[in-house]
Amino acid sequence: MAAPLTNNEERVVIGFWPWFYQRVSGVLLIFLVGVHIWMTHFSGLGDVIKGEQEELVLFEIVKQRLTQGLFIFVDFSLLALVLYHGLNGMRNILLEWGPAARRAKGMTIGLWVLGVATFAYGSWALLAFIL
Amino acid sequence: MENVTLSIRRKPPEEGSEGYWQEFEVPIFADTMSVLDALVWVQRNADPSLAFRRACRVQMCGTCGVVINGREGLACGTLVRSLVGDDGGVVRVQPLRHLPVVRDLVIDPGMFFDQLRSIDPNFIPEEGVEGPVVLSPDSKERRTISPHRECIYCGLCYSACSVVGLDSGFLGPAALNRAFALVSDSRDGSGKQRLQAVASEEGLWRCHTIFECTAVCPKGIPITRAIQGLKRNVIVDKFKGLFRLGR
Amino acid sequence: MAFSFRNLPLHGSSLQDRYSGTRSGWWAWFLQRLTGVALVGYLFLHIAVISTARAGSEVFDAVLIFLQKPFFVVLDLFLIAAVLYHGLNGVRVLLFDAGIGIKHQALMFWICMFLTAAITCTAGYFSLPLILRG
Repeated sequence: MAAPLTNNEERVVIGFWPWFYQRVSGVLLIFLVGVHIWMTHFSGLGDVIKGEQEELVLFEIVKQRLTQGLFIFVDFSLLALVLYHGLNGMRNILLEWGPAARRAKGMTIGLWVLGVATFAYGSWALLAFIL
Repeated sequence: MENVTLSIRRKPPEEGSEGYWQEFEVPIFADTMSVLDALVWVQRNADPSLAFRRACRVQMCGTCGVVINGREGLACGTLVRSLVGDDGGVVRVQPLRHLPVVRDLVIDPGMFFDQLRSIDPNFIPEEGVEGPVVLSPDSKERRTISPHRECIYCGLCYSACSVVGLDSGFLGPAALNRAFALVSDSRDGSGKQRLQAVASEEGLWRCHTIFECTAVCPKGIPITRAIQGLKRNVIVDKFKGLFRLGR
Repeated sequence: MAFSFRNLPLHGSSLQDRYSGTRSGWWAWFLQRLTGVALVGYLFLHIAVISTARAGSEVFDAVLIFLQKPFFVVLDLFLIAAVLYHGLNGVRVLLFDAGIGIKHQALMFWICMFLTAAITCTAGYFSLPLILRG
């Protein structure tokens, strides 16, 4: 049983920021994913159907798009935000599962390592189009 | 007089014993017969060893909570007729979920009350206030807190909550509802501290607005609204602190 | 007619009538989790596919041409449905956090479902030539 409230002077709000950032990243992702899906899969759709363009996504098309600073910004922020949002979501699910919840700290660190590594790997892949 | 088939989840009190379903034919002796009436009929006429809790039988005490046809309800507040219509049928009764079963329909509510106790659910008066504080019945504050003070601690919401089912460490809807009633009450002196007590990963942030608690509450308390209210309280508090506008 | 409790308003019943809906709230949450986990899985696949660009533009193009065959276009529609539902229900939850629409949560769930279905069907309609070009 927890100590009475009056002794809880030191108690701080835990878990607020992950919850809050999950919402912030969610809102940003709605716009970024919208732009991403529209640009890669629908803006060129007419040309592909008319036969003026071979496929929706090809190396040269992506390279062309990524010459614009705006899309470099969109793609890198998309990668970072979607990783945060997705892995934080996984963390929320795992925290409700006893064996993982008991090692919450290690799990959080593990997910951060996974996230940072994947961001590095994804950036390395993206730079193939830019450099 | 037609019958209803009452299918009851039985479990002997011995530890490690297996549970099983047992069916009883119960006459519907009145249109107003509740599930509790049916259980009492079984105990008196068919099997005196059937164990269940009850006290007031008028939806005031919150003692007879069970799961009826897969949905939490007070046995005394659920009419058999509302479940089977006019042609009879099967009514399944089982103990509340997420709590250890002592025997048959009797659960041990200890965990539920431990969670409640952990937020210090009693009123803590503000220091230095003399005499009664007036909170008029039509004031905004009174209207906000009123429904949330109706809780009878029957545990139905705790049983219905999918998050409690996944994570027994979760505070649960009833405790959060009680915290909201106190946090929103200007007469209570520990508002901010209580807010901090519930704003943890095992507390407030674990609620995923599934609305099961609100759906089963026999007092019709909009519990999810309370939990969301607490979240907004924390947000306001956080950003006040961030910009140093607060106390 | 005999006296019946059924016709009497129970204590708190008006509030209960207003707030208790179907169990759509549970489905909303379950689908949010399901699509969330699926999208995380897809994210890693997606990054793996994009990283073939490091092996040269020919490899990338070969992989991408394969992945734009009709079968994968149909799979992409499922992906769009998952993204749409997750995003729309995300907005629903966000509105609850802002204290908006808590009373109408069931209706809002069905609006999410309807919009997901409608937009996915529209996307499917426009992608039909890609699926049929076989």
